Amino acid sequence: MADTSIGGDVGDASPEPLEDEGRRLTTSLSTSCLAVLMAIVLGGLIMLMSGENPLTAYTAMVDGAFGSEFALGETLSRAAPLAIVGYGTAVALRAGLITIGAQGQVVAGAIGALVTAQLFESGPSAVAIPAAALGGALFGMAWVLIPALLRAHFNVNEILSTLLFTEFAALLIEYLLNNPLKPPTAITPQSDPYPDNGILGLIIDGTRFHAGVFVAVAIGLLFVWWVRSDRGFSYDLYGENPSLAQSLGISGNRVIINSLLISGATAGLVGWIQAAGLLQRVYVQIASDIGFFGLVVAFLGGATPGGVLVAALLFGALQSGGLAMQSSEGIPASLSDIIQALLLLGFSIRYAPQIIRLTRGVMANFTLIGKRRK
Amino acid sequence: MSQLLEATFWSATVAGGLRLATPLIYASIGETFAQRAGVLNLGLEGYMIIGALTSLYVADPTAAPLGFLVGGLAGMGLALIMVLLSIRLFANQVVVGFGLTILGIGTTGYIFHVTTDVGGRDRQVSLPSEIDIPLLSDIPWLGDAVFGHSWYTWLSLGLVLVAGFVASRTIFGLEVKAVGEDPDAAAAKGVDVLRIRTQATLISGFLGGLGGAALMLGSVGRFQPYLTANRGFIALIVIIMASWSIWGAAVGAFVFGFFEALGFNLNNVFVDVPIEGLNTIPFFVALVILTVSARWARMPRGLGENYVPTV
Amino acid sequence: MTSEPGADPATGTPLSVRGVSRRFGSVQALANVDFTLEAGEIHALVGENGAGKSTLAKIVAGSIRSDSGSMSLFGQPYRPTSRREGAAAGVAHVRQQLSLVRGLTVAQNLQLGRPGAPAIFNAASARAEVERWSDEFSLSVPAETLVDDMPLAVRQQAEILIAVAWGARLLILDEPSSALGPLETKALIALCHRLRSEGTPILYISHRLPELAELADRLTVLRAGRVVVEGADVRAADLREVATLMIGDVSLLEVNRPEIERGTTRLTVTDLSVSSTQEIGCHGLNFEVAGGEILGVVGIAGNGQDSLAKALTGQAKLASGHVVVDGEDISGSARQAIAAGVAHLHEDRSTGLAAAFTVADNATARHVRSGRFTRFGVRLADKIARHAGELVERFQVRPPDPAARASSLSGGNQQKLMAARELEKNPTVLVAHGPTKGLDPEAAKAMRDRCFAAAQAGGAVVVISADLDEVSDLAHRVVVLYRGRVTDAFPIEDMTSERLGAAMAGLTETMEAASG
Repeated sequence: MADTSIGGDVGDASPEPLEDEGRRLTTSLSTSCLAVLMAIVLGGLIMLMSGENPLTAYTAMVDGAFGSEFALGETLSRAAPLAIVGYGTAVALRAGLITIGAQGQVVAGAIGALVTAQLFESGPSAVAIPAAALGGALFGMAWVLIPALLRAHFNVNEILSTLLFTEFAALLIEYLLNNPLKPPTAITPQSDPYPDNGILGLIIDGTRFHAGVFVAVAIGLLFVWWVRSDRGFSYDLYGENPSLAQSLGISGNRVIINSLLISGATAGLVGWIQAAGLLQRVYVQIASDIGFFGLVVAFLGGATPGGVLVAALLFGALQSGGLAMQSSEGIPASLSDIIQALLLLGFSIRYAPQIIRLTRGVMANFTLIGKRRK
Repeated sequence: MSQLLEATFWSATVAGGLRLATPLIYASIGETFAQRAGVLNLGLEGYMIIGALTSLYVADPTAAPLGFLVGGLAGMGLALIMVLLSIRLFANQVVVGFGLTILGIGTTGYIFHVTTDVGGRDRQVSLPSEIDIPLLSDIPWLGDAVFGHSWYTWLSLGLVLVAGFVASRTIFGLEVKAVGEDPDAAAAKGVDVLRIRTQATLISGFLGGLGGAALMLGSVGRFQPYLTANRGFIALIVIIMASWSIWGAAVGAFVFGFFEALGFNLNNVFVDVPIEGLNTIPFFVALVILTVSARWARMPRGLGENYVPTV
Repeated sequence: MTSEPGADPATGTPLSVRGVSRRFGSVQALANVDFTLEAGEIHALVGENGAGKSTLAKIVAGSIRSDSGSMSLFGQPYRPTSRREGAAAGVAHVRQQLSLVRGLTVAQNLQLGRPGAPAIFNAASARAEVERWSDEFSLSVPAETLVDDMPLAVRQQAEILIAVAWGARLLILDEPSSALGPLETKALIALCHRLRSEGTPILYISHRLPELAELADRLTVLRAGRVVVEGADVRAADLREVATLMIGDVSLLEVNRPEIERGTTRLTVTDLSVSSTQEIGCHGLNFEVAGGEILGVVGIAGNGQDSLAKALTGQAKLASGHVVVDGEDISGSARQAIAAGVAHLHEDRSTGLAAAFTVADNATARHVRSGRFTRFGVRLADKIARHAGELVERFQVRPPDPAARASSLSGGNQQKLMAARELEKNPTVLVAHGPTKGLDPEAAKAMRDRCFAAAQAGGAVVVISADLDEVSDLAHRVVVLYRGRVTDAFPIEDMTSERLGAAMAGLTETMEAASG
């Protein structure tokens, strides 16, 4: 993981002799590799038990993730939304908040982008594209606003409130795509095709590698700036020690609301690129599991710029490879869910330093309800 | 509209509510034990779904009660990972919980796919019959609502009584509360914090698995991916609203089930209102309850924090 | 399972410790300690913070094991491997952090962890038992109140009561008086004498000498893990000499109050009220502090100190009133408080520092969002490290490494790091909450000097503390907090333990205004 300036902490309460940065990086890298290896081996065991040949399966998976131009395009177009959600969620995580609402915010963002794009249908692309992006981001933010206010003012746990808003989003999009947004000719719930002037075009023909992938790069660069900025530091400080941050004049409510709004905006952007780039239409399942796995990516990457990138690419590859494996070998793609879960569990134990530092912050801020009693 | 004034509408809604609440009752009572002991089990969703699939796969060739029991054991098996990683190796409970939820969904999806032949017979069980209680079931309206239920529901109500007794009238119940409120002090009094937390987590895994099994065997009958549809997380809200009381959790589960049933039933009354809108009712109620319960809910002090024994 | 106190304990010396040693990492906490507790005595074990008193207590109680050496209990070889075993053998350990579970009642605590208790909790009989013992010792310990809702002194009584009910044959009290007021300490001493007369020997651990003369029969002094005096008669001992033996270098204990010139009023607090869900809050406080003056705020912990500290540093929303620094109202704004030059030494180093952050980030954290070390909003790591290096040098933080994590420092150096952050510039107002709490004598002296220096530079200093010694070392004037109200205020020369005790126990009428 590239960035060790903030993430690389042993984080143990006991004052153990400090390792130097280089050694810490090695430890971090070797634990990461070990966790990945363990997940692959366990996944293989599961396949063996169900009578499949792990070698064939993994070959098909690697092939489906990296084996061709098309495969690479699949991997990148899956990694991009995970990275964007991962970076947005990472801002909240660093401030000590766990939002799993990205799922609903992606849906809201897709609706927002589509509706905005339809408004600007006759304008030039140079207006329609940014307008739709803004529409997506704003809808994503709107979808997290109430949970953010509830957390800031009533200490209502953000995991649960954002989960409820994901349910609302799922019901809303089901309604919209069955009724007002559904073209008269459609049989299954879906929207009209996304307006032409707003489409994020393909970069390489014959793949699904579309221009929206570059949004991930832009967000990544913004996140690099964020972790080095004074404002980002103040949010990190709040995540590490809320009462100290408040004593230094940092407003806790502002940190909570802003960091959740940032995560909502990035998830909204994902809704936009999925609608305008990958699918060019809005479906009920547009968010697939991006929101949930975006959080996992942020965790695994230790909420650092490089870490999130690597984790997003890994998960993108696992998912595209898993689907390819399902169609070529008939082995269910759920296997990649299992491997992703095993990765998260493998990283959760003691020795992945970034995660330890992050989870300490999360616990410093954690509440299910009300102020935490001392 | 006039249907709303008829008692049968409400008795049907209450009955439906109790039916829908049954899996939640199992799951939220189990989770209450874990959380009272200070363990935040976000893997509950995973315990439920693995319990559901396992119960079906056992009950299909054998019998429902056996499937039900094994479903509970499957949930407990997943909870064992929570015990190992979080309680014994001190991994963050939130992260492990999410991991177990994904693992549960992924594993059940995988098993379901590899065992389902294209064009073959779906594994399924027939739903249980309602147990009528003579005389009581014959009471007009009330009898329909309260007394005509399957044994999964009756068992869940019995469980409430037992769990309530264990939580407040036994030393084990006191130990559970002690290790969740004040693990250091409990340890100083000679309570083995890790052992009690392990037991409470396994209970939550078992009851979570039973909840999934009750959902499967009691009201669905066949597997579909994401079958549990976030019920594990709803159970967490129910617990908050109940302020970690066993009785409260059962009531909270019923309240959620009631509004879920109300959404369905109102669909027949307000035919013009989109069903999606009516289906938001239980979630909306949950959000309101979550917000207002901030006024009374007192979360166990040590909830979510790992206990590391000194020396 | 109850045994009557004094009911024929097995014959033999209650406790004999021979050659016990224990190491923690590189620290030799106990080295070859010999110690004997005789029947029917109260034996004081004294020593400074870090001398090894609590380690010895834990070994005797069974919570930790010794590396070498042996013990016997009432003549029997005694080798406990857990606290449960220690308790079963009749050793009860009442710790500084009490071991009553806060979310439970006293009756529930009575049965929790009790050796041989039945699996079913019988609320009625547990309650009756608590009431019986409470009457027996003329205490008023409520059986069915949550421990959370009881004052500290009552919790302590409850814990001693439970120990006796469990059949304790030997009681270890670890710093029992450190958080009590004079009146409560008196009551505690009476309870100890009562227990002694019933035949329960007591090992009484303290680092406060004055109360021992009244309380104990014999005393043993530990220094740096070694016994320097074993079993001396308290009445014959020269406490001054004991203090020397405890510390080694008494000059560390001596407080040289510098002459400080009194300036004009810098801090004015009028009608200050804070309501808090977490603690008692404070109500209608009025006081002023002049430049160069040190005001001590004393009171038993939990009587509104946290709310007051937060209010004075702009962190608490005020229910009413104003906090004015040099004519500027900083009420409810930490940002304004910092801009007005208010410094805050947090009571608890774990909330006062960002443990996982570097020394450099901690030392300069007061500049966050000031734009001081940034360009285009990005923090300039070099500039921060250089500035932090100077601060760390000035405040003698060891090791002086800006890149080290704050969590890797010792307690004393963490306190110095916090001071480096807060006292970089001479403060207009310094709010020092328990500045020497838990520090070894050397670090404590350094912190006292920081407080004096802040006053000498013209700052108004408020020392909030439950430790009466700390306040009498530092303050010129004292106000007493009880349940969030000021119950008395007087110059330090007028401080007597009677007056203080009455005020700390709320026996003095609430004072509406207490300005000097």
